[in-house]
Amino acid sequence: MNTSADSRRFNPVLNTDAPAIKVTDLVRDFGRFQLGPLDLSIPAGYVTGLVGANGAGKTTLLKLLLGLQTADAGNMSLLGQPVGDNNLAVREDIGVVFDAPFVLPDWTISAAGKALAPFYSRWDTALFEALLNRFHLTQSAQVKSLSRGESTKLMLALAMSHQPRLLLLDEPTSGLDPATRRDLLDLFAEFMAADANHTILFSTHLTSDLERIADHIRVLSHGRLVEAGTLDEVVERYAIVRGPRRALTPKNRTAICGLHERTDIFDGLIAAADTSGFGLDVVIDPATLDDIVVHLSTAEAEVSL
Amino acid sequence: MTDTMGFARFELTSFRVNAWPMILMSALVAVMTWVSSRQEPIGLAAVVPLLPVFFVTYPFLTDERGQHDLLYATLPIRRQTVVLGRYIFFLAIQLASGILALGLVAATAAATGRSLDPRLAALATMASLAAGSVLLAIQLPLLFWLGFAKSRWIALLPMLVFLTPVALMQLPGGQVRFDSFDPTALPPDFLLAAGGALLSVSAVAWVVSALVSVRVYAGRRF
Repeated sequence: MNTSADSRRFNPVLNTDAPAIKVTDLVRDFGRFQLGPLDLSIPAGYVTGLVGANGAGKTTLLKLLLGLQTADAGNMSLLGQPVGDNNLAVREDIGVVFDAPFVLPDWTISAAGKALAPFYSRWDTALFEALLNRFHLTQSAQVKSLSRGESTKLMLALAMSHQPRLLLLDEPTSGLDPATRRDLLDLFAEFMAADANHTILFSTHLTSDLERIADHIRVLSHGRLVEAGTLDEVVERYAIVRGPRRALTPKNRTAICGLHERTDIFDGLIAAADTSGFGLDVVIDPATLDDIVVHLSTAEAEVSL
Repeated sequence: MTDTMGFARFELTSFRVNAWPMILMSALVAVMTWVSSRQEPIGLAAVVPLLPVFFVTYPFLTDERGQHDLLYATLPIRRQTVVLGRYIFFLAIQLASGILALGLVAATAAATGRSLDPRLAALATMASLAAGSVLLAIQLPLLFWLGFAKSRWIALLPMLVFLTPVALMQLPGGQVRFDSFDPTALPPDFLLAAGGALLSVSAVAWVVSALVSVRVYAGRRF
């Protein structure tokens, strides 16, 4: 059956210097929460982790990129094309997975595949079936009967079967057991290895997954971008400082980001280059990505980028 | 256009999953109406084309249950395609119900041995289709604008409209007026004009409604 999807040709001209996602001066104001102003660039050909606490604005940003929300200001582009209802061809190149399935719960897995296939010119039924086999999903099973992990695997199979260039993943591993998470991370790694132009934007608050797979990191806090860079760059920029509260002085307090004080001890994030000014009774360790996200999320300052 | 037809097929795929309960309920309503109208075949012509109106909220409920608004945002289709595809789906269902109504009228007339003027049956069916079109034309833009959760009250609207003539028929003299109506006394030109007017009303209702729906759905935030 020839469909209109067949008339949307895949554009083979790839500008690998152009970012996969670019956001400029983006603002979305909900009243009680505002995302932005946000300037953000996701490089093509890499896995970028979009990390932040719950309510930081990660899902809002993804919804804006998909056109589910309308920005109050700013510009957005996906794979070099402005985000909008008229740029349909770019959606052929994007696969999306959210933390819950977005197909009818009463459908069978097979019916879900058949329902979506006609919309994509590059839908590969053999690939869809191969992914289902890999995930041990039965085609006759109903979507509502699937477990949390199985639902995510189904959504991944649906997202990858039309051979996208860009995967947008919103909390895909949230709530999954470690073995399932490892399986999914392996699949993401294979996706990246299959083509140098493949890109993943992986939104999550589980930093351990990003430490395994991400090349780049973007940290959102209270709707603002507070950190950006490669994973190694971001981690090496910071150190974690811990010690007794009596060691805090007005001067070294200002150097600490996201200061967390308890009864008689404190911990906080400092710039790796800023480790002087603390006494011998203070311990300074390399920061993990989790340390950075936690402390930046509780800090007010935005890193100028 | 092929995108729109593709989405209409998608709607049919979604509808078929839970079609049986709706079909059974429709059959029950039709039978109850036929019995309460003293088994007059014409009652079916008036009711069956209205049945799609009772299920207008179903696709929107499906959207919310399956988070289909998120799905539509990922598919390479415009929001306008979603709207027009859904309108084509409802139009097809309505036309099918009209054909079914005429078939049931003929079948019950033959089975019960009651006489039936085909012109009256056609006019009643067209009047019912027009009424259904107007009801759908009012409901669909509201549902596209608000979604199912915020506008589920709209499902009551066809019930009120449906029950009103049934209630009127129960009033003293209501049935007598119906029995005394002689369609053969109407000039053919009048029937033709009435049919044309009903078709025009239906067409205008659909077009205006679709334009409004496209507009409100384009601006909706999820």
